[in-house]
Amino acid sequence: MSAICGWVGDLASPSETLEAMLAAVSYRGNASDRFLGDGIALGYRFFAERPHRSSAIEQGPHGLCACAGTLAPAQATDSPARLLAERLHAQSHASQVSSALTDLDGAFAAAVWNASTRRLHLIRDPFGVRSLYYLQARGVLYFGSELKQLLAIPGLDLALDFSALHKYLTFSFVPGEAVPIRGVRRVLPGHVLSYDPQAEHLQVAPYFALVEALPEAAADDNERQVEAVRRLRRLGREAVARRLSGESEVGLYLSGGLDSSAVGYWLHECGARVRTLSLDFGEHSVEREQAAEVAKSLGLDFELIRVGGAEVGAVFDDLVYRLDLPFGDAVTGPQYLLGQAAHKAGLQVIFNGEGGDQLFGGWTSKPMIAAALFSGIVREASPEELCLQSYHRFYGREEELYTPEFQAQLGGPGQRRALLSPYLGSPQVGSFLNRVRLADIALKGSQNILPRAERMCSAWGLDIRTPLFDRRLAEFSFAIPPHLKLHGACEKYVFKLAMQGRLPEDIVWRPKSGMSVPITDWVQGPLQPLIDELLSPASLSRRGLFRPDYVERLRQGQDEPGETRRRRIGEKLWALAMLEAWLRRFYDRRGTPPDAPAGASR
Amino acid sequence: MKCIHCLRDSKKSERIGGICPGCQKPFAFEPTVGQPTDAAFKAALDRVSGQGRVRFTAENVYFEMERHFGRKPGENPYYLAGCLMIPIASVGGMLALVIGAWALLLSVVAVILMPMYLIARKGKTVQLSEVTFDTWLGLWKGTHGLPAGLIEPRAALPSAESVAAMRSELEHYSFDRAVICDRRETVDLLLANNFHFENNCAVLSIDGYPASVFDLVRQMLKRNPKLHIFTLHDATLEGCAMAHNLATDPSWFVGQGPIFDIGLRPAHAEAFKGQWQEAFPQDRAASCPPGVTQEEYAWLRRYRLSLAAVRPEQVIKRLFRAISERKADSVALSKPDESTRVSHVDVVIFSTDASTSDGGGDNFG
Repeated sequence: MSAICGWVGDLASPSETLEAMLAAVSYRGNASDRFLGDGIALGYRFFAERPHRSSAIEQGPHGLCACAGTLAPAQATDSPARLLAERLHAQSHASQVSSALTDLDGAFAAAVWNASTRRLHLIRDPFGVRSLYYLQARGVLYFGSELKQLLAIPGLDLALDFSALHKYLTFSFVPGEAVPIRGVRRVLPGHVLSYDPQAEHLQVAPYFALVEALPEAAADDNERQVEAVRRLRRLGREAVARRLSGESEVGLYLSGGLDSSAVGYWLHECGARVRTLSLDFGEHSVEREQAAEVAKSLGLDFELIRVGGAEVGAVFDDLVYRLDLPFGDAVTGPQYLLGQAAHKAGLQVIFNGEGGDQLFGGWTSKPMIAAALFSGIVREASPEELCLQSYHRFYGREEELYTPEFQAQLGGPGQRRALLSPYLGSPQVGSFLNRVRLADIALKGSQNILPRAERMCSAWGLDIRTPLFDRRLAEFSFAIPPHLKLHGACEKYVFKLAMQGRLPEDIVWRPKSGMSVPITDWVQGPLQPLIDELLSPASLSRRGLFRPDYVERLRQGQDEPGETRRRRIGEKLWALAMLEAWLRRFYDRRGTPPDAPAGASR
Repeated sequence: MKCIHCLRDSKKSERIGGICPGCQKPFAFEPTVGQPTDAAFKAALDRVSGQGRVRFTAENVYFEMERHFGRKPGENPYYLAGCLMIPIASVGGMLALVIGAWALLLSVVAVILMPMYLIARKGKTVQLSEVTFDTWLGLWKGTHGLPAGLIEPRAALPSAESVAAMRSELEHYSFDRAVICDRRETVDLLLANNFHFENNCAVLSIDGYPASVFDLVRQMLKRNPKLHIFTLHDATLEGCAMAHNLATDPSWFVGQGPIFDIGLRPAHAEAFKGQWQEAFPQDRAASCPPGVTQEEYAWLRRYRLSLAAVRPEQVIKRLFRAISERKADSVALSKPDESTRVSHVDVVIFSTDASTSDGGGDNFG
């Protein structure tokens, strides 16, 4: 929902450019505002009738501000743009701007033009729910909420960034500042970019960073645990309450796992009217019954949304277009269809439980601990290398997958490890577990889970709320002993204790099972024609990135000899197909929209 | 013999000094003196490594070579003698009619040769000597370098100090499961193939390997009362008794469990006929230990079967499948204060069919 765009510098045809950038995200609102001035342009697309968000570009004596999204607490202001403009009018440098944002939370992307200092500040929310891209070309700094807005700039030359493609093939999403179009970069979550057009000087600085602040060893560990549980209950409830802004009804994506169930509990406790939506993969469903159990126990409306490969195939082109960047996890198809169902149900706001794993220790903690313990016994592997392997795409398989021509354009070694090193070696976080958590939050959470969830909601005019990615809650998670997150082999221990007695016992204490999208069944079934077309030898040869024999082996259902999980075949094929579809849409066709799929009217 | 580099086929007379006449690169072997061809040894390395994508031990290569290059029945003198049994018996019978009954002695000789022939034809135990194999591997390394993926014992293991800095933190954590092996080589095989990372799994040998983390990991394992334990071992008396020993030794898993024995046990041996080895001398004289049936004991006193006879890829897949099956079976919650269950040993028996495989290596599970 909502988007901003603009530039600093002089253009020959400013109106045409601004209209093109706004039109590229027409689905992000039914209204728009624009400002064209001396060397500065701002555009803002938004839904006019929604509360607690800016209804225009803020124009004051000190400058301008366009802000997409909402702040938390949502009730604090009816105009996030005004609040930001007031805070930043006296600041000129990125470091000064950072100090003015130390308590800011929410889901927003903002552009602030300080008229007196003639500097532009681009600010992205602490966890990266909202995106913000920029590009310097011919002495102009352009920016936009989506990549497709920059691709809409008339006369812009496009070239691929092969290094960013290489990273996508490792992570299944594009991490870091670079994107697959050369020259386009992102403001990272929790960062502010300051630009001085006169000097053409650009400075980026963080205004938010998680720092470990563990308590002194206490004599009574039990007392500390009780206190942690009490605080978590309070902070969780407050995080949800801060993201409610008087809606008559909100939606909740309920998986049946602990995290979304906890959000459901707190929504219920806050008195919100909640309609829950859950995915139904038929016989492949893993947590369908548990989701129904939670909804029943809390007295929430419950709806199952049946999703199969055929349904995903039918919306695939539009899915790729709305994602804006290639996201290689097959969960995006079901998320798109959930959004469609929520939209049809008349919902405007969706809550989810994303973030529980990242903050309180799920998935990657235990394998990384095992790897750290046994490192060096028969093989040396740095924590960065192990972390890269944990994404389970094509790390270590480059020789088999990439053509020599592609390999020749990857750039220097160590680029992927360098993305992880600041977190896995953070001097501000001492414990091993919290370093792994930090990397998980910064990469998988902020650069994959959150932006893709936001785009799948925005595709249907829905406003996403992710209360577990809350600044105070995250800071709390780095201020409790790590063994309250991973207790023996029990993940999210403190979270489970906090929800004990509030949710059904088996929901709280059941080991995590994940969403388990049956992607291998889909790519070998209803999605096979799509995969065959996107990854045919002719298609691969045209693109020139991948060796057809390796892809053909995957299409025949053959993975690595040591690979024991069948789902990996589908995950890999989907990631490759998504990339090819993305290249066709965003590189070959410059991000223009596809023909609308059946039933896609919004 | 074909060169593995340029694929040129050459005769011995063309291979002057063991050099390929096509690309001038050296051969490791000379088949005319009883060695395999370079191409055959490379093919064995490819098979055992899953085309270079699975790491393996030298012992894995030994059994791979044994499967394909162990002495054929035709090279066994008993077999050759046995092959003469029928003609000798026939000639003896005919001569007896002509020159007298004493010629029947020839038929008696033939009858004596019969069991030797049958034994040689059966070929239960390995034929390729380990010394011969070591020579071959040395020749290969000297000529073509260390095979990619071969796990070599490390000269210096990490010291206990390397994990000491993290010890106070790590000791609070645990694993979902543990694989306990009877041999360090099996631990190395699993670690080298990242099994511990992919399956959130501790991997230890029963005799204290890897020493740098052994005590810490055992302490961590105690923190999970719902730990799933898997044992992986050779079919030996000691290996087959290991699961029982773990379940009853207070320093291991008394009160924890369950323990699932993946094998190898004598029940798995039939599919690996030809890969058996003579039992260790001490096993021939040992009494039947707890955890081993009388039927197993009878086999284990005579033979043993190394886990290395199973291709690494199959070991990993079989172990993963066992873990998955146990995960699916488990309906327990992860609530940590739930009472522990009594340990027991559940022997995982699985079918094998040697007739459809190249010696049983692909039919482990």
